[in-house]
Amino acid sequence: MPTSLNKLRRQILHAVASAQEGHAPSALSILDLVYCWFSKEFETKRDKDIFLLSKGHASLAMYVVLASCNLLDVTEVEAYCQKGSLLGGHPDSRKVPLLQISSGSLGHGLPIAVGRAMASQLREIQRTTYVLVGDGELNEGTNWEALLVASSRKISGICVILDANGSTERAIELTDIKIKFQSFGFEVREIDGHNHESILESYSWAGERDRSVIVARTIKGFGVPLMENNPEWHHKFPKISEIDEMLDLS
Amino acid sequence: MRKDFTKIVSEIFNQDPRVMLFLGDIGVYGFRELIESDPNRAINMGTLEQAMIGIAAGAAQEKLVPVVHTIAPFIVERALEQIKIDFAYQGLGGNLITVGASFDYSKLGCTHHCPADITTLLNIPNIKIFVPGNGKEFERLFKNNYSSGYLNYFRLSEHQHEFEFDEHLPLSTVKVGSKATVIAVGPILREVMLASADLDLRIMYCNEISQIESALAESLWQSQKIIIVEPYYSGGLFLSNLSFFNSFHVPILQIGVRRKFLTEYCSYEEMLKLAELDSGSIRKQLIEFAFDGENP
Repeated sequence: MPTSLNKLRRQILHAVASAQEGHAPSALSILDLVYCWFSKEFETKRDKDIFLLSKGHASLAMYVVLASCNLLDVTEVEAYCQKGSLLGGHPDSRKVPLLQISSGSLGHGLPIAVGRAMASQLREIQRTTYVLVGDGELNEGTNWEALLVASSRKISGICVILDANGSTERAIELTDIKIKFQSFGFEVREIDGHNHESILESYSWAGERDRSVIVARTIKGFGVPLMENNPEWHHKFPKISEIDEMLDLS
Repeated sequence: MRKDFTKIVSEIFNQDPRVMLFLGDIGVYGFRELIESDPNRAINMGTLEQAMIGIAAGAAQEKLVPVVHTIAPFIVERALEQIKIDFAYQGLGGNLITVGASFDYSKLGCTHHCPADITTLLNIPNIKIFVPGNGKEFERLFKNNYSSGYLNYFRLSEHQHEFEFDEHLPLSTVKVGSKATVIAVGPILREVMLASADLDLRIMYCNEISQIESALAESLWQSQKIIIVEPYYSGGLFLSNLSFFNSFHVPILQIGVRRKFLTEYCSYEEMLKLAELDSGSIRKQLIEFAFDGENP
């Protein structure tokens, strides 16, 4: 069980417990993916690249990572969801431009990412637009519309990071995901979404490709055993007094 | 108006490299030269309207000026959430230009009608709504606003009025009169003028659904009655000026497309009658309201 990000996990749980709002398991699912993108190890490679979080309900992962990189004041994370705070249950990019997009309703990030990639191409900016989407989010047809555009117009510089935590399986099972993306002309790599070495390597790999998908196999609620793959916790909030015990189990 | 639209947008497209044109498989023939000469900037996106709006918003985030075009319901009703979140909530500028209006495609059925567009979009903040009455008005409105940083909605119709106004005013006076003030919005001015040529009514005109400026409002204060005639579901101008109209202690009549599915397949003129927006129906309503039904 990785412990390096336990401080950030604690911040996520604390924010959710204080606000009695938020989606902690979703944030924990993508925490490693977000952390690696903003990490110093990837800093020299990402250059002008941008990162969009489409599954906005997992925004706490973004908040704590940005704060850990000193890109966001940690007091803002502590004020999560309070009146006047910059950070809420879903991100508002007008309040914090670094967040890039205001997401929350699913299926919006990938079309916007394709638009940004198309515009970057038009403006001759060499960059990769990374967009993190959830596997449940792929139920939304706009994602497939956007993939169709990216494919047919041969858009370059786009990477879909898929948080494949299996959360959609109880509704619509997403079978043969690799084949689905490949059929849209995307190169696909599957990784362990909690293994930092694999994540960093796949980000570099994607940066050298026109259209790529990183299928990151993750565990919803990762690092907090009580929450792991437990749908009950999707939108449930612990008490502050419970946090130590929840993390000690890990 | 559609030919004017193609000409004007092409002109601006050629002048301003920030403009990016997205077509929802509509108007493609008219823009064929742009699509051939600049295929990365003038794009037929096909019929994926929701993603098209999101993609256009992404382009706007990269400081480009998107112009998105297709038939009204396929943008306004199908992609409403994308308009709301991707553009309006994120405060991005761009241009949505639709054709079809309420029922220009009167022989194609209700799937292609969009009398609800204006009142629907008014529920979303940060949108500027324009209802040009003819091609010249569209030219002035588009050139003045396309890169304003706001999200603009231009509602084009195949049917237009022939009046010309020297300058763009929120409210222009078309005809003087004393019994009531009629405010006509966009192309419906044609029917309003036909309906009221011999009536003692003041006719005013606007093509932007915005707040009525206080200076112009003063003349309205003198009115005993106000009638608003709109070529879509009524309420657009009233909703935009709720506090203003609420401050009046005079009767206000709103005339617009009847809120029901107009299921007949027929000519546009016949559809106007079904919607009770032809000059005869409007005249009847004007007399009933402004003259208490008595012969004016």
